[in-house]
Amino acid sequence: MGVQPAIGGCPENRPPSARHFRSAWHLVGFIRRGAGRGMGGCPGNRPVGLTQRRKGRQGPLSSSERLCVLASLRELFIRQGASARMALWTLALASLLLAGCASAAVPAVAPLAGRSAAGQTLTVFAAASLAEAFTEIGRGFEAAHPGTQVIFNFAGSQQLAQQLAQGAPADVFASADAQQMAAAVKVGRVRERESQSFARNRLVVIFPPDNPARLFALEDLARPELRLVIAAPQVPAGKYALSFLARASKDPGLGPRFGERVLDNVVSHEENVRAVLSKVALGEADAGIVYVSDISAARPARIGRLEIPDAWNPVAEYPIAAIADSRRRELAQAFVEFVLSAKGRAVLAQHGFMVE
Amino acid sequence: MAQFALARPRRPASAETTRRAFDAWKLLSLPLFAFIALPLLALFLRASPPRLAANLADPQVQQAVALSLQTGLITTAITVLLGTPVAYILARRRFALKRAVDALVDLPTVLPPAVAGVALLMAFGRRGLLGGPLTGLGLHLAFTTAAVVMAQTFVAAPFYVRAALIGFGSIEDELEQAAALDGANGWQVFRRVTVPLAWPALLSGAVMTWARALGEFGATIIFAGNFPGRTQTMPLAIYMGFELELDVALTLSVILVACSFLVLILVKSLLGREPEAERDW
Repeated sequence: MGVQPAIGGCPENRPPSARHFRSAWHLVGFIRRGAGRGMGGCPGNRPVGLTQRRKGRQGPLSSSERLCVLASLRELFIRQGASARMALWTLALASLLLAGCASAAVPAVAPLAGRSAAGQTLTVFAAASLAEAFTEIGRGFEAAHPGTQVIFNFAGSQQLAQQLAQGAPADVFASADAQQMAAAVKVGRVRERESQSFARNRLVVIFPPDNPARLFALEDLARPELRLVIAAPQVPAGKYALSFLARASKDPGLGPRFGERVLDNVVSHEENVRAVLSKVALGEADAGIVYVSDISAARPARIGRLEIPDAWNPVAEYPIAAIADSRRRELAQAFVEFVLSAKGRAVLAQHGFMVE
Repeated sequence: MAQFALARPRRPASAETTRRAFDAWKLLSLPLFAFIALPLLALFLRASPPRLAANLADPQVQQAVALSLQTGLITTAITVLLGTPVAYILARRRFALKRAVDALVDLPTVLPPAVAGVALLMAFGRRGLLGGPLTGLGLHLAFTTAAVVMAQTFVAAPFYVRAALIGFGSIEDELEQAAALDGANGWQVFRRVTVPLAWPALLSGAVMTWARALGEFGATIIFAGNFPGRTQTMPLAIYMGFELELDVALTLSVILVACSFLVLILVKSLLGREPEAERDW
């Protein structure tokens, strides 16, 4: 670069402050016209740079100083131009890489997108606990109905019901409890008679593989200093957990005020049941209460489990229904029937749900 | 600026063209302004004053507000204490990998807060890099108010450091050198010259950090969990309330918006930025 020697005379490499930069901007044209071209460099050892011009010493620049300033500016612009181009390239490369990773991880993305243009998409709102089972059922459904793409929205049922109430477009709703399905019925998104139960689930107490709180029986849940995580009371899994504790408290075998003492140990109310599982699997919590299906054989998470006797264990009923105002009612009904079919039930059973 | 006057193109513009250009700009600025203002306005319209007052008495709302204010202030204090040296070094010294350090400090502002939450868990969680030894010492961080402060500091501190860096950078070296020549020691120079000169930047940085801490959600819910009165700050209460009690969510949202708006106005008037913008016209 021709300006290099000139820069050598300006030891001040700090980028100019914003104040300089604003006025410097007006110099671009000046520099571009070549005013700084062919300069011999800044005078010898005199350190003259942009930031050397202080408020207190304002005055006309000497011609050599001016040349030096111009040279630094040109260098600055060249450098900035180069780094901006580099940044753009880096960005483009990063985006490409990300896109590449995504399509490598989900090889089905491209063909599906292609198909959906010609075929139809079905949007299914399903409880977080159904994530793996429904993903597999969705694949089966897509195979049985060529040209159809199933899109899932997995979240806490209460969140899905709220989204439905706010008018979120959907074709099928599968809830982890009757209450949230009733909420969808109440706002007119689901017809009451169309809601059918398709699976049941039970609760289980889980703990990290190394069992830091040395949890060996349900009584231990009430031991002080244990850190328990459950789902928030508005989440079905949280509601069932509270009902388990209420039932267990009636049993004198677990000691007085069992439920209260256990609730004292709760350190977090998670937004959905899978967040409980994550916190326990990470070892952050000593114990958590989740669905049996969350730690089924199909999800070989390394995690300890403590069974809850049937007498105390509430049964979670999972209702499913086609959305009343769905634009693909027939397809939505077909999906509901597919879930209820022998094939669908087999998948659910494989994932730890109870089915008839 | 006088030294650059030679290059400034001076074109005489009549008052008429200036005014017309201003009108056009006003028109063009309307869509974005309306887009930002409308949802916030809707929030206030939806929350009727009597219901708002009733919800303010809700213990869950009060707990969330108290916890948010408390953690936000602690976060800001910690940030000012620990962020000032970082900003000063970055503004004054040259060292190897400075650009990398600079970028690293800014990184949390562009990361999704959920990433911050996961990263904090990996570092300070019970199985984390540091969390393991800390747990051995009997120190539990996850699910505590301390974790809330950590999440907020991680996400919000860069706002202060950035502002302070610019503040320090705008001070002339010579002023500090002059003070030093007059016999002030390093601390005195910093305390009597640097800080007073950088004061507006430091203050606005601190307030921005506080406001950002107040709004922190993603890192908090992942790293600190959600427990009323302990780790459930306003944003968490809004998120959980959205699904059950929309009223609670609305009330807290209104408080948060009002708080942040007042603070921003306060900072801007303290810094006196407005007059400068007007002068340009």
